[in-house]
Amino acid sequence: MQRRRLLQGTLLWAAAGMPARAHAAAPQGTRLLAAWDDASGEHHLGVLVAQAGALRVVTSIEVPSRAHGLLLEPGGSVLAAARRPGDWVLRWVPAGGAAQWFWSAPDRRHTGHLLRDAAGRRLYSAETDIETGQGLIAVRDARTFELRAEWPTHGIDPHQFILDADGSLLVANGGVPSLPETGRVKLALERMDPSLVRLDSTSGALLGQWRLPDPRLSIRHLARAASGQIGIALQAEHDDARLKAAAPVLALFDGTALRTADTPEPLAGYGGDIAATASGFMVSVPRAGGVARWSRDGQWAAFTPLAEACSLASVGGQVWAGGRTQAAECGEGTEPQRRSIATLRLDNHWVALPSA
Amino acid sequence: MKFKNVVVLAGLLLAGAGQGALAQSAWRSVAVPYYNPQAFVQGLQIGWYAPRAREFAQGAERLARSTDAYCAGSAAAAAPREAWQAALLAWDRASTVAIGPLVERRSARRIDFPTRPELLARAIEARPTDEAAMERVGSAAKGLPALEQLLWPKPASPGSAGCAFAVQVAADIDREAQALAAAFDAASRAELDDEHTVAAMSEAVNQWLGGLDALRLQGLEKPLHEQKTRGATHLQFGRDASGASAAERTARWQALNALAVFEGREAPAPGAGLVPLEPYLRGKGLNPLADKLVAAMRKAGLGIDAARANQPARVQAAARQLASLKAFVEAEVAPALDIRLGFSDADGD
Repeated sequence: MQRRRLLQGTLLWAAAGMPARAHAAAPQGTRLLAAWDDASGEHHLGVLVAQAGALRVVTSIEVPSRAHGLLLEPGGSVLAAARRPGDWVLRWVPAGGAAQWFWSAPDRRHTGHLLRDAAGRRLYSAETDIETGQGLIAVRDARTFELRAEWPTHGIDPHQFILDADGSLLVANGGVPSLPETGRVKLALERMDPSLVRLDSTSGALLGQWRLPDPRLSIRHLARAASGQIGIALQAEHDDARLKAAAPVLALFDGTALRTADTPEPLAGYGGDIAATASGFMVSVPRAGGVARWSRDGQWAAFTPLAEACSLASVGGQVWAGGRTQAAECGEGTEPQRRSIATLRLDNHWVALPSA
Repeated sequence: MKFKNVVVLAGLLLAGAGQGALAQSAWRSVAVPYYNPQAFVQGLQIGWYAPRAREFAQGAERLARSTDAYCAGSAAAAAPREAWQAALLAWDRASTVAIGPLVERRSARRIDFPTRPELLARAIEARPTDEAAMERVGSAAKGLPALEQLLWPKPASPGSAGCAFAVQVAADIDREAQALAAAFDAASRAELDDEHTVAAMSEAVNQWLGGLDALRLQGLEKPLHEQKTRGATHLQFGRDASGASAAERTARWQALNALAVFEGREAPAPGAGLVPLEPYLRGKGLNPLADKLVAAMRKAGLGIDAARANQPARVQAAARQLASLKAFVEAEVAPALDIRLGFSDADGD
């Protein structure tokens, strides 16, 4: 119904749709925008700050379902996209609590992440046409979230996408078939078709498409190193538990070809998030309980144990990893600094906020 | 007169379901049988899906006939409107927990896909006259939502292109409803093997949670958030044109309740009827968990009842109760049933 009208340019800023709580005056220290569930299973988006031995909630807003992809905006607002089900995007100002909700058009669902163009005029969101299952990049007005265009991702289940150095969009088509009727259940995995595509970021034209030889490796999260190399976190969907457990969790893309990086030990086939470091890439592997590192050419480097590690954020040369009960500040060649995250059950991603 | 008759009928069909589990089963005095997944799935097919699909097929047939009669000038607009309302609720009961043929046929695409007005206008102009022509009409211009727009607020006039299209849309709904009823009837008579039975039970529990979440997010949370973002004083719901939003919510809740809580006195023998989650748990000796489920369902049902007037604070309270119910079923009921939840919160992406 009136999809183009639904998400509206004329929306008013309003008080938060659900209670926003200021827990303390914003203190100094690393601040992270994160999504989490509390002990009673309620979902939140908020700001955490590193303080003596722990990450504490500075402010938060309750959200109706899991927030997944997070994006910082100029001016202090943030965006969060819901996932499973991908019903909404929230624009929220942590400092003031104002919230603006954009619910999905009835025939579309958000499928992962959001991105802002270099000029700051457009927002892109990964979506699915629920009638056809076609993956889409929705191009929206950065201020009003109004839909301007939709570009096919030439695959299904688009998840994360980034701007490459030449200004094109690199899009991870996860390739996992699902239906709106069975949003909770993965279907027909034998028909998986993950791919990495390059789209012109002004027209949406397809500039290239790459696949790994193994179609059961879902291409989901991307990070670009300073060298231009693209690291890709993979999630294996093999029926055979042994294949899945031993599956690679990192692929590399040099602009012309995709290849997987070897793992010296099984990492349970599930890369939750990825961050580029000065020397290569880090991939969180929650089912193997830690963060794995590779050099930029895909040589295995190290493994840092952290129970249920998933969210990764780069902060001044360090990578902050969020786990089940702890966060670890991981540097190159140094012991990770650990902090408690108490009862928060972090979602898959978090983003470092600029210093207050 | 928008929904009175239909709501009364719904209440008679599923007495008390909207108020949670008011009926008291006799599990304390009459032993509850042990059920295996086969009994659960068989019970679903014969005790829920086959009869609900038949009811929807009957409702759709009546809708097609009454739309035909109205557009031929031999009935008042009230006839297709009332038939539409009854068919909608029958569809809601049958489809809230979408399994088996509902998924395989992708029936929701044909019956309940959101309308895009520009596509509906284009489809009316194309003047389809038969099944083959309707196959070329996109989902966003047919099904119950499109017919709602053709019947409310001002019904398409008999003899108009809009009315002729309404006749085709109703016939299209009827065809899918009959096919669905036939598919569920066949499923209720099919032999079950162990592997598929376990998968079907898992699908049903996952889809029950999916139906609960859809009711909460689309039926309650979305109107609340959009109201606040618009700065408006009233909530807007998906079926506002026909005034069916609250009745639809209730019908969806009734389906969820019927599949979770046993409303009769003595639990059925395995294979003899619907086995909701509550008696399934009791049959495994998990009475405290079954009691907790009944209490959580009752609380949520009272919330849904209280939200009928669409008052924002009550809609918000109902949404919270459904969220708590979902968290409880995911955390306690599903593991007790050895059900792996697809894409649970722990899975991530």
